[in-house]
Amino acid sequence: MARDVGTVSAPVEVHGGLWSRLRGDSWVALVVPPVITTAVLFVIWEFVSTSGMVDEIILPAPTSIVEAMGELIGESFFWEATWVTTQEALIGFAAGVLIAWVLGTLIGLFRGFSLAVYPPVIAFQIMPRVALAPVFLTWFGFGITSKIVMAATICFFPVLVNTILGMQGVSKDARALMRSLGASKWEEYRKLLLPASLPAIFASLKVAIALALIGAIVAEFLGASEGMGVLLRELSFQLQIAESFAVLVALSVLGLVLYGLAALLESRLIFWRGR
Amino acid sequence: MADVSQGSAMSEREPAASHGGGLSISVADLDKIYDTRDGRVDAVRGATFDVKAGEFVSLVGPSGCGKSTILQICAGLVPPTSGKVEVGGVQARPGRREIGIMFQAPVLLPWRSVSANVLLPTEIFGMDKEPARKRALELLDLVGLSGFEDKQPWELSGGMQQRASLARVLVSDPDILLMDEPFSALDEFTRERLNLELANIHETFGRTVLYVTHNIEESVFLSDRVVVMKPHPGEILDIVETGLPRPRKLEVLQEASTIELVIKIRQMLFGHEPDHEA
Repeated sequence: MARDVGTVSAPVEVHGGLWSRLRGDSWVALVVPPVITTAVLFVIWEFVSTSGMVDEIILPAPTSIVEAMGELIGESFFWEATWVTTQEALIGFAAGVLIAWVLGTLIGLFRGFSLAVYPPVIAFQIMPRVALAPVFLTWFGFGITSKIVMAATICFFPVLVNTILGMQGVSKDARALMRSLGASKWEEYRKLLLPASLPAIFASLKVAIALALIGAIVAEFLGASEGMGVLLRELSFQLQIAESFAVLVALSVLGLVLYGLAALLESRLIFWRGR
Repeated sequence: MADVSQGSAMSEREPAASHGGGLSISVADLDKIYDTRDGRVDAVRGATFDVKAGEFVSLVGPSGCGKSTILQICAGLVPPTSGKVEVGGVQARPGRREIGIMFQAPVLLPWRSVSANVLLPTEIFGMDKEPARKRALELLDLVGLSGFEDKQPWELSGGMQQRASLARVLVSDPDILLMDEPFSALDEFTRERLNLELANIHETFGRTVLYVTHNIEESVFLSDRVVVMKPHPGEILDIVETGLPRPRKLEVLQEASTIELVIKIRQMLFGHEPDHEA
């Protein structure tokens, strides 16, 4: 028997090294394949642009974008725009999450409140909220407020739904335990429903932060004097496409950083996730 | 594993006498009807039995016989449709320190450490922190979990989780234990061991226990009396005195009289088995 096992495992060992690590759960398996895919795509892209198959004004080569990026990060207007958009997204996120969490908690706790409030909230969700941007612009003006409101409006719903689902997901036995102990509604919430719903809430925060950024950018497109959305629009109008792409890359990085922060917070605070 | 049968871990704790003989349970003409989409379900019909102070009584029967419903009514979690259920001389209601309830699932909160889970009832009952903490650690030792108090529940095996759950139900020092198939999800060996320990704990502290199970052998081994129930509608067929000696030893399961008792109860239940359940 032992010899059979040896023969079976032998081919893997012959390949050894990178190959066996790619098959396992090591970081190599997580990093190497996507890097290869991306590198291949960039090489094709570079060739397509520099060879003239596609005009550089339509699709600038990755090397041109990197160049434009290098110039941009030396400019103060770029950092000012980034800061404005970050502020809009973060404040909108905080407001949206807070309102969603409070509303979701009340809906999860009180049946009467749920019956009265949940249907209109769902109707509001089904409406394409991006279409509200012009209205917010009229209400709150060209400044930062209309962007914050848009960001909050867009990132609000996933947090609301997950707050409610998190509370509904609490096991019947756990509720029966709290009830048998004579826990008050407040004790049941604080000691059971709140912590039990946190994993679902934190999972939704990662989605919400990305949505908040979308909300801020969309609102900036429509009417603003500063921010990355404004920068992006101006650069496109001036046919500075490589620079536009550089801003897109910067936006992706900003989104990734915000997402990473939310994920980090989640992994630190919700140590019992999935248990 | 603390050697419960030798009483080593328990010598520090107060003896059973401090419970003043415990409290009793009395169930009279209990009916419970559920209105479901498929119509009316008689979960319990005309159930009458009592559990004397310090007695260990099991409710045994197949699923749908209403045994869990009776236990939930005793815990005050579900209202009866009609009839009288008195626990410790007053009508059943939740939130009483004298009553502890244990479920089939351990129901440990994953964000709390094992000891914090055991302490949960003491927080809600507003008991003093320091003595509660001391008692929780003693109980974890009693159920064989000393050294695991700072672990998270998911780091424990299923049997250990149910041990922690047992420590939690004991932490408020209840006079009555209501147990709803507490060990039925565990493997045979763990279940047998925990049953033996439960018997020892019962014999040492003299608490009143109402124990729900679908396992006839288990009910005979643990109980002073076994309430045999049939389903559709849930009714009591008979109440059987086991008359087995205490302290209970596992060997008692191999004795002819015990086996006879198990067979008698099984035949009682099979005599009422509806065809569609076979």
